[in-house]
Amino acid sequence: MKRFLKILALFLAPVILLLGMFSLALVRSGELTPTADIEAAALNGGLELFGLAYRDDTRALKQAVANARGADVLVLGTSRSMQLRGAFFASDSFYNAGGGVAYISQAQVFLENMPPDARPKHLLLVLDQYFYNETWTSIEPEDSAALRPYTQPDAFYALRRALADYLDGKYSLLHVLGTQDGVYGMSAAGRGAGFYADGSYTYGTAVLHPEKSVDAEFKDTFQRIAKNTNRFEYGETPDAESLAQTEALLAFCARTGIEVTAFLPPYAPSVWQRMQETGQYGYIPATFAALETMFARYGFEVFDYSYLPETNDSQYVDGFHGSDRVYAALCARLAEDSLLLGAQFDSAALTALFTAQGNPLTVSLP
Amino acid sequence: MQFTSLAYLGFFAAVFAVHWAVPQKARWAVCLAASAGFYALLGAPMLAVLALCIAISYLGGLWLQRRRGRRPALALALAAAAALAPLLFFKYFNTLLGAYAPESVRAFSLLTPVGISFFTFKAVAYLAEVYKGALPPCRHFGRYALYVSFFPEVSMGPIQRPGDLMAQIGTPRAFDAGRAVRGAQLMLWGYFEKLVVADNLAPYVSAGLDAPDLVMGLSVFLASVLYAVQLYADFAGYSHIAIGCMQLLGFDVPENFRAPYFSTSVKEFWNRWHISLSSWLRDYVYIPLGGSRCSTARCCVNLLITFLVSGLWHGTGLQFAVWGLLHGAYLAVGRLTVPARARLWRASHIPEQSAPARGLKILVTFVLVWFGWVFFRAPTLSGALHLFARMPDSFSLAPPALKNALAMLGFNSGMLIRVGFACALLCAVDFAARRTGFSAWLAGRRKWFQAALCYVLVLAILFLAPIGASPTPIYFQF
Repeated sequence: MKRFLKILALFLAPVILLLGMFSLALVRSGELTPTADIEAAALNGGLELFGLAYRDDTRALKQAVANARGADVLVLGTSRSMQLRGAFFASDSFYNAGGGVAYISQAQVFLENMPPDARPKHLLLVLDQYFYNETWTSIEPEDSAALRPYTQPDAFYALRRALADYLDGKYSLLHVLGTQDGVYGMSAAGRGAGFYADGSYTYGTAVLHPEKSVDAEFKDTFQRIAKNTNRFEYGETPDAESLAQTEALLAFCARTGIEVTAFLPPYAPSVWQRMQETGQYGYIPATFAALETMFARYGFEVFDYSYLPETNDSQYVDGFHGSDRVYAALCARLAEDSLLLGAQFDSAALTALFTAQGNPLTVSLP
Repeated sequence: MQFTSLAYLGFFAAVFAVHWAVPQKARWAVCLAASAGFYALLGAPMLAVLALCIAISYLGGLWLQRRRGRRPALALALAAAAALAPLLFFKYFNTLLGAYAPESVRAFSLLTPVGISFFTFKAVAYLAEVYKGALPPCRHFGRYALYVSFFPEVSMGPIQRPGDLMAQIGTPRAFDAGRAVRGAQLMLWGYFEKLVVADNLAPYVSAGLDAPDLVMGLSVFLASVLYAVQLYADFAGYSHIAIGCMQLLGFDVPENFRAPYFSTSVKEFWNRWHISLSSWLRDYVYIPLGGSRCSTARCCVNLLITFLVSGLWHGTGLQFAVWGLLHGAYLAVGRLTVPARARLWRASHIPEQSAPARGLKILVTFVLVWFGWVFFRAPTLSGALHLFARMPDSFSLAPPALKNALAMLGFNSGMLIRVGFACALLCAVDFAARRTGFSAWLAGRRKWFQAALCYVLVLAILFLAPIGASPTPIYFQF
């Protein structure tokens, strides 16, 4: 028996060493840090970048930080709102809660969950077009408006995923082992992708090689359009329930003294053109028309930035996610268009950021 | 508790430690307790079915001996029928319920106890051996219960023969490091087959065969070929893990799979595929029917009946009957055409044992077996025919078509490389070990080679096995 155990131990020693290295990388990256600790770091200024790869507490964390910060200007939306950087705004009291909602109904829940004195003075609401697509809402009915508690880190699952991702070349082990303080998560440590302290998002090293993206040249998005699927479902009329939920949200904001500016976020120009060519997205202009009237009733404002002609395809991370540059241009537009929020923006500075030389997917912030 | 779960590894490590720590005479009790615990985790009613099967066959064995000389065949038939009753009940109850019961009653369909076929076949084999006088009835209920329910074998076999396993249970042996190393190596190989090959292939096979109308014909064809590999890796992998566990506990178990896809005839295929079931059917169905010691026509009928039984054992659908009859027909035709094929080879001037001839035979055998697997995999007979009907649709082997077909199954280049590597390694090892089986082949290699291969397997499992719960082994349903 001793001989067998010796053989087994000798054989397993390098395997254990290997697994130990990856486990150490997970610990160093902060992937296994409880989300409550990351929340604490976000609130005491100890958070540089937060990008968990193997669990998703984004919504709950955004809610907790927004509640604690009580920012004057709050951005709320899906991933298509996450490039709105704090540096684009004049106010220092800013928080981007992008990723905090996945359905329009969740926006009101988000605000209701905030302590009254922490609610923003001004809400910048990003209204994804598909929120109002009857087909999409029937295919992907809302999972739950209720906020889920933080998930517990699952070390074994994370280790399995870390091994697979390493094989996929998603990160360098040495790089992750040398993770700086204030960085939390394998995405953040390995690829520099995650949320900054202001809640905005960076795609990290992915923007250095857009040709490696799954949506390079928008092939995936074009397929979605062609196949009438995956948030590009065809639709003619706006979803009445989603409009009613928006109305309820606006009523809530009006009651609680929150000013609302909203916009429909941009598609890459060639994607927008392809959508127009199909003639199957009639629900978008119809939605905007309905929203415009609705917002005006409450003294709020909404803009249709589905197509931003000053941007070009190279400035989009994928077919429907603009880069920092696109959102700098969008904010420059808001500076001109928005009566409620326009004063927050320095149009010239934003235009300079938008037109600067360099990687079309990034901006150089001071 | 599947073998592929971490819980099972923990469970087995504990059983291994306790088994070797207790005195020799108590080891069977440790194994029996572990087996009861293992099966109880599947649910108390399941354990009750297993216990019932054990009790019936145990008493049946004693009764057979007492009835010796007084219409023993009738006694065997009664005892075997009693032992088979739970299997037949669970296997066909749901089918009959689904076919004839009113809608409101169908909700009462029963969950078939895992491994019921395997432990029932063990029990029937025991009764048959006692009847033949090849084995005295076991008077030690505990040891007999362990023979039927031994946890590594209870869920998916192998169906180890009573004379072999019960003798080993009755004579505990000292720990043999060599056997334990071979067992650990075989377990590792089994985990590679199941986790890396079978589980990686599962989603692509499903994409092609579960929704054949959504993909091109070539995708359906490729998925059906991949299914042949998936089924083999899934079942052989589980078998190898089971045998490895048994070896680590000090028991020798014959190989259950020995490179079946390198068979040069369908007959050879059945000597290499699920060997314990094939030999069970041979000994307890084919030979009692008269085997091959009768007229050629009768022999062919015996083959058809034996494989029909095999098909119906796998499932109640017509597709399983067709699959069984197809293999029976392969063997019958193979038997009838021996002289004609020999003449053909002579006329071709290619030596029948030459590498090209063997390669051709292997290819033809694989095609015949693959054809049968399509019936085996389909949910119904018409489903199988539909799969065949879809295959010629826009069929082309041109690279762009191939690329499209693979993309429709969900492959990307990264996954294709991984799956390709896993299948190539499986194929290479199977080819190398086709004569002796994996354990004997690896034991004959140099130490550094053994260690290197084991490290490759460990790394493949760590890096390439899909994340998440491993799919339920395909043969669990049987």
